[in-house]
Amino acid sequence: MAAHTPAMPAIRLSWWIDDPRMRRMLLRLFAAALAAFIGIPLLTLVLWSFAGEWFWPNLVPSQWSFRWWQEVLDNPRVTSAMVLSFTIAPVVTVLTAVVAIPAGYAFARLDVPFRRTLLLLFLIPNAFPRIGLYVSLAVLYYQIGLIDTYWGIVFLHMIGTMVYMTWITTATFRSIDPHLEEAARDAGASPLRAFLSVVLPLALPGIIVASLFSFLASLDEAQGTLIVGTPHYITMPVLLYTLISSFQRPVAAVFSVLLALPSLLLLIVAQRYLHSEYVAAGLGRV
Amino acid sequence: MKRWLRPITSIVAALVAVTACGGGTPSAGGSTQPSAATQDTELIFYSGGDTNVQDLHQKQIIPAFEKATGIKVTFTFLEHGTGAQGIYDRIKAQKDAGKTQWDIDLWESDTGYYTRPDDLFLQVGPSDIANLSKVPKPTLDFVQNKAVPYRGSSVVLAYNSDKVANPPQTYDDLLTWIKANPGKFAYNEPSTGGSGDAFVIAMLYKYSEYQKYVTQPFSASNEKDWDAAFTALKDLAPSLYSKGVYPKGNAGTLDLLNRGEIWMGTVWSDQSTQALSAGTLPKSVKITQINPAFNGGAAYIGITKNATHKQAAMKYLNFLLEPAQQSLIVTGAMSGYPGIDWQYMPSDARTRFAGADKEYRLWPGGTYGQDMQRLWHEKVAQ
Amino acid sequence: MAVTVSARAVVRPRRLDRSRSAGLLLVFPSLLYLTIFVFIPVIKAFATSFTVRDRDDAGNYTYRVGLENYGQLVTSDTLRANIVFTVFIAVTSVAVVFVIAYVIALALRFGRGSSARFLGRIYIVPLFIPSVIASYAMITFLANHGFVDGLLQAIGLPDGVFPKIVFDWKGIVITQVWLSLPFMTVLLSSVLLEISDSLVESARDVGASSWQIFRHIVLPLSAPGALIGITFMFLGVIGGFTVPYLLGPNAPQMLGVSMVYYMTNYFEPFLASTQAVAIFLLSLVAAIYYVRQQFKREIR
Repeated sequence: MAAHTPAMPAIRLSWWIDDPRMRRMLLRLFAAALAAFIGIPLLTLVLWSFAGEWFWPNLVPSQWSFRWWQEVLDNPRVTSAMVLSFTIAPVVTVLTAVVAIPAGYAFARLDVPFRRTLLLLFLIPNAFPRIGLYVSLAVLYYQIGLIDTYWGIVFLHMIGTMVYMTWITTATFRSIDPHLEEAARDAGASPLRAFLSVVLPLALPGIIVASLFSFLASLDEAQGTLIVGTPHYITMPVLLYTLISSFQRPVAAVFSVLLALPSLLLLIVAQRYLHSEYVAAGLGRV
Repeated sequence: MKRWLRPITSIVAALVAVTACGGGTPSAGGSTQPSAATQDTELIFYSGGDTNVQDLHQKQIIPAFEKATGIKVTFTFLEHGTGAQGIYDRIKAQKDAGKTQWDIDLWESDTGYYTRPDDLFLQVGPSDIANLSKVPKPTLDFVQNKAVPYRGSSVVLAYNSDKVANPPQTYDDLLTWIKANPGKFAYNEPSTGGSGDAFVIAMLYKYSEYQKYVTQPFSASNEKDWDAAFTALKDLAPSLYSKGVYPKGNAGTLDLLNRGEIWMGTVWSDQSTQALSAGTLPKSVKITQINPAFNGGAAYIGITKNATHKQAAMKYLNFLLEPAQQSLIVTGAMSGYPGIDWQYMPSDARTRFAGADKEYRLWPGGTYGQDMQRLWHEKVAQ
Repeated sequence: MAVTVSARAVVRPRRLDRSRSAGLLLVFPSLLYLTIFVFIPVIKAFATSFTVRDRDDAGNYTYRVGLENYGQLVTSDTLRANIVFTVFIAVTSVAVVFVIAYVIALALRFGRGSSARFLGRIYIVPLFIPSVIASYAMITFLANHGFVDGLLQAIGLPDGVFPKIVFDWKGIVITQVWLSLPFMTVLLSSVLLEISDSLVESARDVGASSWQIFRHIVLPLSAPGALIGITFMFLGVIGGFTVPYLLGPNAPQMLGVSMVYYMTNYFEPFLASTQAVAIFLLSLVAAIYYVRQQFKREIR
């Protein structure tokens, strides 16, 4: 009585997955390749920012210089753009959270009429091409006087963040056991109290992940802000966009580094929240 | 003039309405002297655009003018020209209200505004402004004499003098050169920068008649001549940089030139000259103009039809057209062409654009421009 | 005696069964926001796509309602090419990211060595780099006579052999992959977390090889969640502008770029709206699938 053996060809083709040494080596190669793929393009930007002179076919600049850094840092538009970007992003995130978290809770827990249709509607900002939205929005802004205003930009950034926030918080709340809230209310707490002291702390990792995505989305936003925010509200990405049109590569490189640095600092700070477990909780173990 | 912030700026300019800029706007019922017999002592001047323009007027021309004439100039500047439509609307509102003395005397803005059927600007001639006799007639005809061209720029041919000893002198010579030196010439994608547009326009003019475009109103039937031009451009593609890659933006061409990737390209006269002065383009790069020239354009200032201070306005424009002031435009940071003909300019100004100090051709833009860009994309791009 | 059990009654404790108005109230602010800033512009875009503009020889315009704009999507060589190009890029980018992200996710889930931990640290970096910067970095990295070309030529590659990557579809795909890797990896990791260790161990106990475990357990179980990540990313790539604009060829163009050109350069706002609607419809297919998947899981 022979045990049913698996088909031979499958084993032969994929022997390397089972051999632990082979697997380790391949993984090492893969990790190195990925590190190169992710890191080296960024590195070339850094090199360009210090390039006094860099012509083909040199692999590194033939002359190094701080001149471009000086030029950029002396430019008052740079600091104001940075300040603007990094103050708008938190405002956008907080405002989106304030609006989306209740909605997420409602979708997860309560009997919202037309729930499925509404949830589908909440996907539209992502499904419709943003550029098309921005142009129509600009016309609307002009009519209601929001063009070239701070709040005009904030509301525009929220288009990108609303989807993330709503869907992720819905999933987060859904994954929290409703009986916990039940128990709190059995013990005499009001619905709000139960929410604040029981549900919210459990939902926090998911909310943080959603907020992180929102913050980054706001920092990244260039196209809409370019249409709606000029001439008085220039954010970092918009400035970078117009700088890329300038042919002084090192200047755009300096700028890129400047814009990327705070984000990378954020990365280090946010490391602990980006563990798969947190994100899984945030996504409701999708 | 808005080439650097295309393509979105055109929308912004169309959509943004400015509220009256804070400061510098005297009330209409204020101190205006109605009598035409007395000399004007004031002038209200609105302008917009790049900071170069602001500096030119505010720091150089106006102080000299005030010193020479004693007329006080109130200058309001709109950055990047945004809000131009708002100013236009303001002028029009005064006409519609039947006012006979308007609160804006001079306005510098986009060329298209001056010839609009609303008829808000004063037609001027050499009897009003003597130096107009020095201005090339085509640039005045272009706006039906309703504004004064005081500076300009055009697209020119930039080349690496280390690699190119004798740059081409005509468009056909240029085409021959491109085919003989494959991969060493580039022009940018027409929708992204005017210097690329100019190369395409020159080809259109080669297969059609230049006069049709600058003396007659738009006619879609003229575009039938364009088929041959676009075919020629498409045939040229394999000889271009990277077998037909069109960089994005005027800066794209300059970047390639800078890095030695190409030896020749079309660039703007002022952009390239400024870069040469700043040292961001190597000294080996030189500019020249072909014959007939690549197109360019002038910047205009118009006198409003019922300006309160007409005399002062005309004096200012006349002053601006003096070779002394025109030299400031050519040799200064603006690196512009003069509004008057090159022959009236002092020699030190002419050397700055040696090789390119010639009259440029015009391009009507507008509907032709939109069609040109779209058709280029459909027929030439790959 | 037949007993009918309503699924709802089993799942929901009564005290949480609040009135529908409370739910609506909580959703209202976000709905209001979306209506003003998204739905109305979308509807306007739809409406404009049905406006047909005719031009006579003198350049005068007349407007009427019609379907010709949509007809152009089919008859115009340029627009047809753009649509095909857009779908091609989206599908390719998503496929490539999926494969790479899956490998990383597997390593994070089942790997134990230093390589796995290292991967866990670096894959997230692109998330923190704005797309404009990433695009710019890729241009300097992958252009002809760029960094990689230079490196290869230094070790003997002849000049001119390096393929055209920047200003080509390959450049768009590579940059999209770079940018989307974190999101897809994060998603796939969380999906893989659901697969319990004990399940894998018991499979091993009966002698299954790693490949078999992957093929018959991991892959099928992760499919629903993975497909959701795929559709979300597909949505993002299809309507994109920045990356295709900076890295794409002059022609064909992705619809997001083409839309902007039609709007601002060719002064064809109606054709631009039509392209926007086209992108929307393409995305809608994916979006509807996403939502249905979500609801399927909810009922479970």
